[in-house]
Amino acid sequence: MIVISIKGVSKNYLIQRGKEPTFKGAIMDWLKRREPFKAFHALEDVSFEIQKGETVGVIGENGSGKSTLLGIIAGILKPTSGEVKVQGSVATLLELGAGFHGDLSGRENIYLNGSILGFSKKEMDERYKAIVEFSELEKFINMPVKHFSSGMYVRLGFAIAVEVDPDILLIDEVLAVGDEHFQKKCLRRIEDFQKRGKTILFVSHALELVEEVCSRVILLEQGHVREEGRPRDVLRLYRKMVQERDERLRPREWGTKEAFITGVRFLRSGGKEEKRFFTGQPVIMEISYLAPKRVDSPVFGISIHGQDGKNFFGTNTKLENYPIDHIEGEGKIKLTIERLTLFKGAFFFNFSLHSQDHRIQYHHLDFTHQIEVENLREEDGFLKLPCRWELEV
Amino acid sequence: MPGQWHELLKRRELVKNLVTRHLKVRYKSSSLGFLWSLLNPLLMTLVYWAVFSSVFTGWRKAGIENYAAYLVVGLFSWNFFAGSISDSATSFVGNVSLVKKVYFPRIILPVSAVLTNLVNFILSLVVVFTLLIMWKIPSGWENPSGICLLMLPLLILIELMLACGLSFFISSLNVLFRDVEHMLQVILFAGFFLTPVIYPYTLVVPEHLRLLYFLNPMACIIVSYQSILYHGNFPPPQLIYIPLVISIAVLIAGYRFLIKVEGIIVDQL
Ligand SMILES: Nc1ncnc2c1ncn2[C@@H]1O[C@H](COP(=O)(O)OP(=O)(O)O)[C@@H](O)[C@H]1O
Ligand SMILES: [Mg+2]
Repeated sequence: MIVISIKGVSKNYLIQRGKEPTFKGAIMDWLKRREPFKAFHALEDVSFEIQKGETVGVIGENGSGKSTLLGIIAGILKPTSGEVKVQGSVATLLELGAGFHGDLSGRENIYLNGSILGFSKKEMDERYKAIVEFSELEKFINMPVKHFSSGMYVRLGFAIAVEVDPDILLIDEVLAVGDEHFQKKCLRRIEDFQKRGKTILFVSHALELVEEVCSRVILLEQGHVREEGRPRDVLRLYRKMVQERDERLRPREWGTKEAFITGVRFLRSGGKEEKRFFTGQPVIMEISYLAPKRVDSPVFGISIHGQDGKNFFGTNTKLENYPIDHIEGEGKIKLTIERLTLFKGAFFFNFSLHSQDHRIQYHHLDFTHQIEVENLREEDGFLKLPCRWELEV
Repeated sequence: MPGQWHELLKRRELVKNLVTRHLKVRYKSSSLGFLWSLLNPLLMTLVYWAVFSSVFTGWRKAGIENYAAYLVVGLFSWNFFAGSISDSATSFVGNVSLVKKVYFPRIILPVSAVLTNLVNFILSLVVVFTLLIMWKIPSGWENPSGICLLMLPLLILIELMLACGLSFFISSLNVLFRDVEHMLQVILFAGFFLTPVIYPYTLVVPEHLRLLYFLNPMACIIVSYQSILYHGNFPPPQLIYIPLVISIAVLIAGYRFLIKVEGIIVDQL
């Protein structure tokens, strides 16, 4: 029985010029006869079918359209064209927080989420205990979830998603966030799902995991289905593709992990999370870390790289004269780039955490984070330098 | 057409949860709780009463014996509308994580913003009635014309539909144009004075402009509230028909609009 059927699905995003879309801006665009939007093709003519009981992996590089595809199947996003048919109840676990409300406690969010999925209070009462137990968040369940770490978000989200027992489970890159113990637990639950004939669609960068749990893999490349078939064959192709790109660009994390970076969020000046920025805009990076034991005088660093791996810019807290006495436990550090002087393109942001003298490298995230930069003007190159023309006669 | 309405019914639990959440946040954010939501209209009553009852003395001639009571009726009914509209502006913008991460009929968000204000309005009616009874207003209630109170639910329903319809526009427009929120305050401010909340229209609006004046459904609605609660009369039928037709039209148009732009809203958030 076919439970998910996708026929000729395309998705275009309209990208606004400028920062926030405003009425004033729209009138200006209209007066100046500017195109207010640029269309971006995130998915083009994607078709496939998934049978009941299959576990299908979706892989592809950043920006290849995996999350968009899952969003469309979940009904969250509307395809620009094409046909989507989904049979059965769906639970989604998209990147960070399956729709939580920050001001509400974990407990309230469980009920809110349940009602979103169409469950009554009574039905959630029956599941509540199991959810809390699975998430191992008993101690934090009455705390507002905005104080949760990304790992805790995932635990709660996963616990809800599996305990509501959907026919179809959509998972987007979340398992990588949790710790190993929790990952194992999730995997066991996923196997249990498989045994009971449930359908799972699974986006992950952890290729070994994909190979292990999936019965079929779909490889996306720039919004197209590049390949689809047995995990081994598709993964081999994908690995080759990735390798063919500059060896140095392979996403990599390494270090002693005495302290480590648990996540990075790119924000606009208003605090909105974003993957796409415009030349000249401010960019704020919020780096979350975890130091299980006290670490003295750590140094946080970043570097920006182009698609060929070339380093454009790098700095750290030491160079910027921002000494940190010590870190311990969980925390966040924020870096603001006042004006992004990069031109159009995709750029890697690498993050590092090391000791004052570089001797101990606690943690590095190399080529794991990428943002896209759009330039609304017709300038060329990579970098914007402040400049001025003057005619002298 | 039935699409999301039907789903809306199916997700009663979610609507209930969202409304409870809004109310909790609203009443919890100040130590006065529910009393706080009464304070605003009561203070406004006091201010307008202090200003206008002294500078203008023709109230009695205009048929208003108790100007404070007249204000209470108008301000509370207006606040239900204005509160719904301004709350709905942030329905989508303020719930990004919900809208982008899970599927549910999006119409639920503006609807629950309006319902929150409805609950608040109905609770505050207790205070309105207490004040009116205290002031012995209207004198008509004791006699058989007290049955005009039966019109109250219909009137609230009309205002509810109007607020819902407009909230569908406002909530989605505010995603497409983020400055709608700011313009809204100006528009509501103007609307307040185009509606006979603090003055009797018979005194201010010239005869030949009345038809135009009552094309504003809120003008009809407020006059009807005053007629029922203050004067103890049935409102003139046209002051029910006009807003009824307009609010149904706005509700349908707003619904269509929301369904149409729903996809873009999610992309743009
Ligand atoms: N709401 C949006 N508006 C504009 N562009 C978007 C939006 N969401 C995603 N994109 C773009 O669409 C492309 C595909 O994104 P996504 O589906 O998130 O890819 P993946 O999950 O494979 O990394 C990316 O280039 C991304 O920047
Ligand atoms: Mg993604």
